[in-house]
Amino acid sequence: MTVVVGGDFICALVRRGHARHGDALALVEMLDEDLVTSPLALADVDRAVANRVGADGQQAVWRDFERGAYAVRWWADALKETLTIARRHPETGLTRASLVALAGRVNTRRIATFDEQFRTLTTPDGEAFVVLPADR
Amino acid sequence: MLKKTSIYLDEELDQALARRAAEEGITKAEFIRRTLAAAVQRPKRPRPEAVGFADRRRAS
Repeated sequence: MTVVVGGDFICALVRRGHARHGDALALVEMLDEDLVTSPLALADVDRAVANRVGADGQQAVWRDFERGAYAVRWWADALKETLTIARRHPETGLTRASLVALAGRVNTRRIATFDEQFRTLTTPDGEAFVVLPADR
Repeated sequence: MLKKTSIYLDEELDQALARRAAEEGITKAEFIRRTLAAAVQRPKRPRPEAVGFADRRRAS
């Protein structure tokens, strides 16, 4: 089984000063599933951690991706599917849309995020997301 | 030697498996075998270690 991970969730895990750090940590310690995200979300994490934490945190995140703690998925039609979702929901933006497309690709409804906008989005199959850790 | 196993699938999942198998140019049965083999052989995911870093101090 796979859980899609939002960049905001990874940032909350990295930054101990983040208001939801404890929630993120508790979820990660409980989950055994693969954690997968999109390249767009990874770029957001990289920029946010570099700005808020600095180079040591940034490089720790790079190591986590390198060692497989998180997977990054992108495929031949990923951009096309992402753009279709983003056009259908103009307020969503490409990063969120890429995570919706990814959920369809890996056939999961489960997403780790504190982003409430995923309450208003559905998977490409039209199902509501199970938003973690809130819906645990 | 292959052992026959029957499972029930949602129609949507069945169709998705057929699509993915076609993309890979293999039969649906082979796609399911490869997917299951990867799932049971894959090593456990490492835990994230980039956890609990302090925010950097902002210049005032």
